[in-house]
Amino acid sequence: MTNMTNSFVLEMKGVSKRFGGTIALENVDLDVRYGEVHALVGENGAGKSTLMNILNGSLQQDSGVIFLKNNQIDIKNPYIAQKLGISMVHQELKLLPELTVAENIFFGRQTKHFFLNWKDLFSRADKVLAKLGAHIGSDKKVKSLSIAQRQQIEIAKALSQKCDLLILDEPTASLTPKEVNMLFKVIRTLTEHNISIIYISHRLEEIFKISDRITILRDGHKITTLNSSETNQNDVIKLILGTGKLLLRKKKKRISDTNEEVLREEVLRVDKLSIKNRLNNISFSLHRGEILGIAGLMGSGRTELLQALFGDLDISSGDIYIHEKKYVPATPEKAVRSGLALVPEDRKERGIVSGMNIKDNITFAGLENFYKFGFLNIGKEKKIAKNIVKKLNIKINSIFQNISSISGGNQQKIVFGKWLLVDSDILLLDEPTRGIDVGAKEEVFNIIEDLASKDKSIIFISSDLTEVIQISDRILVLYNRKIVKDLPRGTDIKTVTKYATGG
Amino acid sequence: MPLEGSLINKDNLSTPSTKFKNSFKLTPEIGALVALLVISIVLTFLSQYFFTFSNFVNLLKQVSIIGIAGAGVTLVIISGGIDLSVGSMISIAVVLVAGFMQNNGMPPWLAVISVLAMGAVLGLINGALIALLHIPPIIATLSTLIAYKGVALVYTGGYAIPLIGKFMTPGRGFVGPIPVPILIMIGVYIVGHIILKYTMLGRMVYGLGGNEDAVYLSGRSVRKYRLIIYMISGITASLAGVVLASRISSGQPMSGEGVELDVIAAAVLGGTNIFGGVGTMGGTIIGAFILIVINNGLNLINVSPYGQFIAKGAILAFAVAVNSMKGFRKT
Repeated sequence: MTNMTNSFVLEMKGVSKRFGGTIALENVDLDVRYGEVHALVGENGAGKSTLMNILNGSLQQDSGVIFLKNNQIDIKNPYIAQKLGISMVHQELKLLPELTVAENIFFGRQTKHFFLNWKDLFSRADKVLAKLGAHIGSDKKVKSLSIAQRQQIEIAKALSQKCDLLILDEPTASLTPKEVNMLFKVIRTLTEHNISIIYISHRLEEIFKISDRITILRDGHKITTLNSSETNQNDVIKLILGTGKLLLRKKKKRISDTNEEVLREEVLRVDKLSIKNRLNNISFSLHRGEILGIAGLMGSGRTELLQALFGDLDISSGDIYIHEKKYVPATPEKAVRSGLALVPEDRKERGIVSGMNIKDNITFAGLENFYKFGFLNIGKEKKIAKNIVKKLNIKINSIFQNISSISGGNQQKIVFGKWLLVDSDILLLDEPTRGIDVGAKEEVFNIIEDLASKDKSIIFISSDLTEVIQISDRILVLYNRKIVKDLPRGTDIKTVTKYATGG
Repeated sequence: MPLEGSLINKDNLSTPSTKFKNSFKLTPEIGALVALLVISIVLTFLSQYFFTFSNFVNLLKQVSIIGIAGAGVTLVIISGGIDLSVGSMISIAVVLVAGFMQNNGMPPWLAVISVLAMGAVLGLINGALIALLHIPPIIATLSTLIAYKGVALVYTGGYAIPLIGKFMTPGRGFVGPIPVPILIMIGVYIVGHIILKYTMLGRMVYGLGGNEDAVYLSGRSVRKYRLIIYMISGITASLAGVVLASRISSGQPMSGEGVELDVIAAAVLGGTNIFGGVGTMGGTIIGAFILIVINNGLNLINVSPYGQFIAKGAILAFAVAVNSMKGFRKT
């Protein structure tokens, strides 16, 4: 052995991954020491899941190399990952509820013979469970167990096989504080046996309790790796959200700049809007030509707010007024008629029809513009589609290209283009800059500014607080499903972060 | 219109746009057409009767039933659904058109219109089960396949309603040398093609099959369009039933049995993606011809009707496998 001093069980180097036009990971490094708990943090879409799916063989990286105990490995599928000693406990547990604990632990390996020796199976399961300190009868059906117990079964399943590296994806998401403590005990037992843990969580308090080191991902990039003992929650939050150089964007000239009356004109007013367990007593107004930024962490209720306004999520109580007229959200169809438009968070799943060409995607919501006597005027449609492509600087070869074949940034511009055609008054933008490259981001910002200068009103959400601050005329801070603060343009990131994290 | 002012630069409208050159691509339809030609050439060599005028007229008459019903089903499948009840809807149309004339003394035109209206209702029931009650299409239309079959049998008490010497035009008539059923089919396909290419409905058909969620979030009513699509399938199935009743001169309550399988096979052979989003009207016609030509050819070379089932099944599996392999290479 030449490399005895190398204390890393796992090294990932320069890992990149794209999905069609979306950049999920770019040149990401990750190293994990023997017997350490290595936390992986970042906002939704930062690339944590993609990185872990590469590690457990569900996905293959486009480029980059992976070393396990100094040997370069090629993880073609989850089975190989398992053979190599890499296991993952998913957030949604993958157990068979109708089978017993023992069968689940040894699933696919119940017996080497034709007949099953139940007694042997149960005793083997009991041994693994004892190692974890879990008191669960191995003959019980999994469906009778609590979530915490099921999680222990998943961990037992990993331990019953070769296991050097265990990935825990949001393991505490549905656990009670007591159960969390139990899990931590299990984790410590594992690390004592020199098993390394990659621990993914949004709960920073827990991460500081259990982890040795923390790696921060943002927007597909590795930001840094820190020793948990040498940093603190606030610093990590700042790194998660981005503390890039903050330059306020120069505002385009708008009517609202000079005309006080226009500025005070309420386009949308939300009064005490609540959704059970999702949104709590939200009140705010949106003015003509205003870009209203929403700052809030994942789970703060930011996406739900836009969905509720757009009729995609039923509201429990509260009133909404558009141009002083009462608006009761029911369906997106009604929302669009009322002048609302939504650029959804999940572009690929909800924003575009991936089998269709660019032209058809652009004109989908606004077909009425060239509809006469029941028929579409295709010639006019092509012209309009081409004009939007030109106007939004969408880089494509032809409007007849399949939309799946172009980059994420250009796809996103097409989603914007779709609403330009409808001429919506109020645009609800849920993470319009996610997963697109820097140049495209700048152009999306320009589009938003441009819309505002044309008197459109905009609600803008981004995981990157820097972006929210840069573009917003006003910032609403959401925390724990409530509006906690209404901040003016140009508020510094420290203040915004403070409110967004409940400070 | 807001568009003219804010979006469309009038100068741009007049500038000559760079014409998109549509390079030749091997679409599933062209693949199916090549297959049809190959099969026909082989059959011409195998049987002296295949490449004859009378046989062609025969082929055209036979293809019309699958073809007409296939137009509606093509819309359904492209939109990401399925309609298994087509055969039973054909049976209902067959017995009703005969019954309306023989039992109720309706003139043929009124009987046909009534039957088509009835077909629309049957289709709407399918649509309602799927779009309003959220029953998966395959189960909803399996249920109505069974139930509608019962309707046809109950209506006639299990007996056929004779139509001897009456109502000849839709199934047996000619305009010049061209059989009327084939004219009806061509009409249906022209309308179907226009719907798919030049109407809002057509765009929604492709959209629903491609990404229902995106359609919904674009402010479109998923419900409304699903109802309309299944209604159209009910109407085309009924029209096929009218033609069939005329051809067999009888209101047979079981006459549409199993036709749904040929119809779905025709659409899939013609390149319509069973998961939705992709397909054309022309493809389904070609698919219907492939099925009928194989049937006809196997008859001419004396393969038993039983053996023909085996051949048709094998060809369907083979054709879809070829299409799927192309799909794999793409991704």
